[in-house]
Amino acid sequence: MQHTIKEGETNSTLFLSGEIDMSNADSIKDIAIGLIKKKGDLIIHLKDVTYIDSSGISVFIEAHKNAMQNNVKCILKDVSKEVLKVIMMARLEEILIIE
Amino acid sequence: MGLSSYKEFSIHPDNLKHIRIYVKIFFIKLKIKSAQIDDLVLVIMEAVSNILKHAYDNKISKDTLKIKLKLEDKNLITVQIFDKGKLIKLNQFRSRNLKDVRAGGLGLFFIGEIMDKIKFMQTNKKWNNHLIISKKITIT
Repeated sequence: MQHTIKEGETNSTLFLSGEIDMSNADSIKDIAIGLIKKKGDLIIHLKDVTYIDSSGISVFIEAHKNAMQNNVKCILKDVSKEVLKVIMMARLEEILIIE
Repeated sequence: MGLSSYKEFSIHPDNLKHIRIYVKIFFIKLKIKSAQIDDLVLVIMEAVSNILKHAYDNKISKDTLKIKLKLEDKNLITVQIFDKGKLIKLNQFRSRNLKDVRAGGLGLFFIGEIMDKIKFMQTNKKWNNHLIISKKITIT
């Protein structure tokens, strides 16, 4: 898994690529929650994520909850079909913010 | 690789990607529909992740786990996963309640959603935990 961060004035963008599983989910979660606390709204780009399991979905749940607690948004953008399938299997497509 | 295959992997999160490749190649060679391959790979990875988390408390070990894959008659895939970690009581896990938006329990929920049969045993002498899961599949 690889990641790139772009920080703006009032938000940040996290670009993820590759495979997300329990070997890297905790580090992604720390990055995402750190960005929410530092910059507010977080946009996570998922176009190039080729595999995700429940550990990865848990990252989105935790980031979403953390954003709500901080009155900001965590938006999942350009979600790859591999990721969307697992989000929908978890019945989270109407809970997480997906654009 | 034929109609059945087995392989052992040491208990280490870095092996997750190797396990993914191993099981995916087996299913591709059987010419299973790609959407079903994705589902089967996800289920196996959830089961293996649960072993690392719960049977080994997220600790690396020199122990191995064994994955046995078999195409049974009538397009039935059976997956067996054996480990030597601490004995797991299935009732200590709670599958996810859909109204409860939380991170835990999703893996078990996926296994239950995708597979047709799930059996969990602790009777084998060499291995402590033994999961058997099966699903009817479609060959392309």
